[in-house]
Amino acid sequence: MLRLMKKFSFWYLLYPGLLLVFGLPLYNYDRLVGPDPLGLSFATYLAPMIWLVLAAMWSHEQMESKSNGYAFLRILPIETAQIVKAKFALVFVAVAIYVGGCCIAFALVSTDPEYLIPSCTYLIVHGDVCLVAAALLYLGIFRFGFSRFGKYVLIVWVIMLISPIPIRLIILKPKGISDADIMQFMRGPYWIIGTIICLVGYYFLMKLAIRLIQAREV
Amino acid sequence: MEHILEINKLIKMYPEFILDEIDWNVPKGYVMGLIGPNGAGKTTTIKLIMNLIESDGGHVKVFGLDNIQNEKQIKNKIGYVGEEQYFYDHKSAAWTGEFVSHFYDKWDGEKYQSLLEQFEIPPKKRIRKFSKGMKVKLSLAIALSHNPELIMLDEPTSGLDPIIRREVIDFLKSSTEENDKTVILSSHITDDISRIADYITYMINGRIVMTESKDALLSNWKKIHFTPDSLDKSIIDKLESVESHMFGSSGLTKNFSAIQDVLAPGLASGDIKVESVGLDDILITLVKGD
Repeated sequence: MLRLMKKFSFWYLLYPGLLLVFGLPLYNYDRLVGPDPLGLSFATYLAPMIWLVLAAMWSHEQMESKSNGYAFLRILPIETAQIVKAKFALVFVAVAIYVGGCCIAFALVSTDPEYLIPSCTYLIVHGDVCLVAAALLYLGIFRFGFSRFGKYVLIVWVIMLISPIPIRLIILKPKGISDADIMQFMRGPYWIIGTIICLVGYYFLMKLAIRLIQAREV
Repeated sequence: MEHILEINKLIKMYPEFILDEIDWNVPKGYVMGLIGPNGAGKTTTIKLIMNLIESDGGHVKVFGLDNIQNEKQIKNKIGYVGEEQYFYDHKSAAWTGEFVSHFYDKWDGEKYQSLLEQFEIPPKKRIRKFSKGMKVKLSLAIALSHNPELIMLDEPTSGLDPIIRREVIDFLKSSTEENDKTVILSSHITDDISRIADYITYMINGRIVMTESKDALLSNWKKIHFTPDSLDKSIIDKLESVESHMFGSSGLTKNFSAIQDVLAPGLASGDIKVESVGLDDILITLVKGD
């Protein structure tokens, strides 16, 4: 499986590489100016960039689709389940490294729990959502094929990009939920339950993805 | 006789096609030709053996092992060349060899290099720039470089020009003769199969209609030309594809040895003539009779 993960890892190395190039000045800016220069925490800058994992996953699948990679892999002595497990494991490792790395970076900025805990939680929650989104994307690709599913994913991307605005306007604002409430939620134990649910969900979605790819004809 | 492949009541259902409870055994150490018209179910059968598609019933045993439970172990000992050749085509043949070498227990890198040289495949060139013939040869090089016990070739020569086709078949013939390997070669080009096969299986409309040794098949199937009244009606009724023409009539028998004595007087007088048939004549007769 490690061999497969290494083979699949190109895009996962490329995107974080780009992030490093563009992310480091951001990190230094934050350190020089001090925390929250715009009323936003350092985590707010970095957390959305976890979606680069999805971009890496998507680019990889595009390449697999273009070169009929699954058809090639399935004639080799590899269990079909191992191909899927390697892909899911790679996404998980990428998310874990990103979240872990960022939490260490936050700790370098400040070890104040008032800052560190919600910042890390904010990132972990993003990581949870990223894992589930990646699993759902894999299910869509294995069920409908990359080219057919790709059209719908474009619509989903747009919805995701604009989603913070309607969420604020329709859900949070009418119910009087402020940013401070969200931060309070981050400090509580609920995110742990959420993370466990996401991880268990990720595992079962992987099982379903294995079933889908086994049923898929080469 | 030891069988390397045993298929039992295998079913695959598509809306427009059904592979209908096929039973098929392939003896170890021989070349089995699988002949059938397009859409007969040859590729479906081979893909089911390779576990590239899911069956709707039945069992496949390769090397005595269930092909789904032991997928990795079985594929480790199979060299497969499909109808379409799939590679990471933005990569080179050298990269592909290096990549696949990690998955096969008995990968022979030197053999792969020598096959690339023999087939004149540039190791550093991107595969997407290869011709169809080069891709087939690269597939063959990969299929043979891990010393497989069973080689499965699904229409490998389809779409190739006659020169490359002959080159590929001759290479297969020499490499299988030398190493006493079991080969399953599926094709609708009967000429390819007749050149290398020991056994022949005919498949029509999702059913296996006949499996026999090539020699027995060709010695039993004969075309009988006869003048009116030279052949008993009971014999004529047993002939296949009987047709009349200006010189008399002709038809195919699938049991020449059984009627040889009855034909002897007619053969001596010249009223009856016997002609050998090719595998494609038999195929056409079977398709018409189906």
